[in-house]
Amino acid sequence: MIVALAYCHKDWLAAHRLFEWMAELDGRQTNHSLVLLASTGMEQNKIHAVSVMAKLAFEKVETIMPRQANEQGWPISANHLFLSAQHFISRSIRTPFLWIEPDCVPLVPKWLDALSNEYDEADKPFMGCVYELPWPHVTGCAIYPANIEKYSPGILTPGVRAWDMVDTETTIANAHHSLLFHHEWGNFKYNIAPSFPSQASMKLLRKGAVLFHRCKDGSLIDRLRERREYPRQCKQLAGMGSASNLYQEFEDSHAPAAVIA
Amino acid sequence: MNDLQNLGVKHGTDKADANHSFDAVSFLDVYDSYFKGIRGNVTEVLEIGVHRGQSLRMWRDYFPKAEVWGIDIDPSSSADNGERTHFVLGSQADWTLMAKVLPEFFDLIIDDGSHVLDHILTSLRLLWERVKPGGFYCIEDLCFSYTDIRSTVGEWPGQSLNPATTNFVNDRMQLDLVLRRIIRDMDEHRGDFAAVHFHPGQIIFQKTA
Repeated sequence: MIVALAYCHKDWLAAHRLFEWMAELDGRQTNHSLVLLASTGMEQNKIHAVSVMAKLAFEKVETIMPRQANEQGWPISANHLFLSAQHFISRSIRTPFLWIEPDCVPLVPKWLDALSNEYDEADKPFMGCVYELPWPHVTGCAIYPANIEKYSPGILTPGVRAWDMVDTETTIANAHHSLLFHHEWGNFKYNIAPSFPSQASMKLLRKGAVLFHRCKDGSLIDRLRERREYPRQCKQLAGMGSASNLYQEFEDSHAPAAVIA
Repeated sequence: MNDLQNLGVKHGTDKADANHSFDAVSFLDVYDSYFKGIRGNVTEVLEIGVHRGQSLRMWRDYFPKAEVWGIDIDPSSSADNGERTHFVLGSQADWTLMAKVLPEFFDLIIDDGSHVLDHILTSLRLLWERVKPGGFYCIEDLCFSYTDIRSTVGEWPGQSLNPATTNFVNDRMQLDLVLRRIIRDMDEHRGDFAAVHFHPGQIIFQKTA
């Protein structure tokens, strides 16, 4: 399986952290390879730091950088990076690819083998998580065919919408809805991603999932690392306390912050 | 009696009282030992959990150049809204609040908020990156990190304002696992924690310079 990941100046540290975690889980992947996209204009020392860590997680790493910068914010810059990856893969590698982002978190060892095997068995061009909000769509972190244009050409011309929000019906029709992906946007209204401050909060994770999206603060990796290093203690902690996740606490009760003085 | 202890008594903060002392050393005695040499250099201070603003006034007087920020979930909290003190209404676990309202960097952050471990660890994660190089992050009243603190809902101002879904069950083991990782990183000369100081009921983290 080809894995494609893009990062920019805002999330290069998260990408670095993710590859470190991948290497901890599986060592260096030899059956899968990585296409790494650095946002145009990224500093060389940051690109180097991410690449070094990526090479601990994947034996084969290809780093590309779009020729033209497109830092117009989400979703246009994200579309630009996705389309750059798709363009490269469809012309040079020509195989399906898994698109992930720095806020994705693999949950178990062999996560990539599990995704790859299920994709092969499913025999559908797309594989991912069908998420209901804001309307049903296959979330962006998913497996795509090299020839996307054959199934959902709109993905390649998304305009000002996120690429996973166009041609949603045809993409769903051509997708295998995999429970290996666990997507939780978090607080939609306030754009707050789930956070995992404690083992008890890990109850949010769906059993059987191998890849979680999205956790932006690194807390899920910390908790998973604790589970590996201190399994007995974590098992005990997981049973304690409620399953509440902090992002949910603000779902209904959040009021605009007030500065009194 | 040191300057900070004097100011604490003057403004009526409980950080100076017997409940916050061990072996005749109060929280303020401990803080003074760390901060007395940098009093004139501190420009931004944040305290989580301010009650009636007593400690904000104390920090303002102790650090002559500091803007002192207080955050509390309790709207009935009233800080001294005078010169160099700022009161922010909201939860310490509120990402949007932390990101949008507060200054970007602090010399000193003190967490004397809900004492809910999920909140403590979330605030540490959110705010540690906003501690200036060489700055400090302090967590108080760690005696509560061993217990279910639902019982404090009726006792502490503001605690009842946390959502009903809040996980009030504290287990010190969770904090210790976080500390183990920090200490391990320090032992392996990684990360940006320069020191972790343990005192009775207090932890003081110092950031690398």
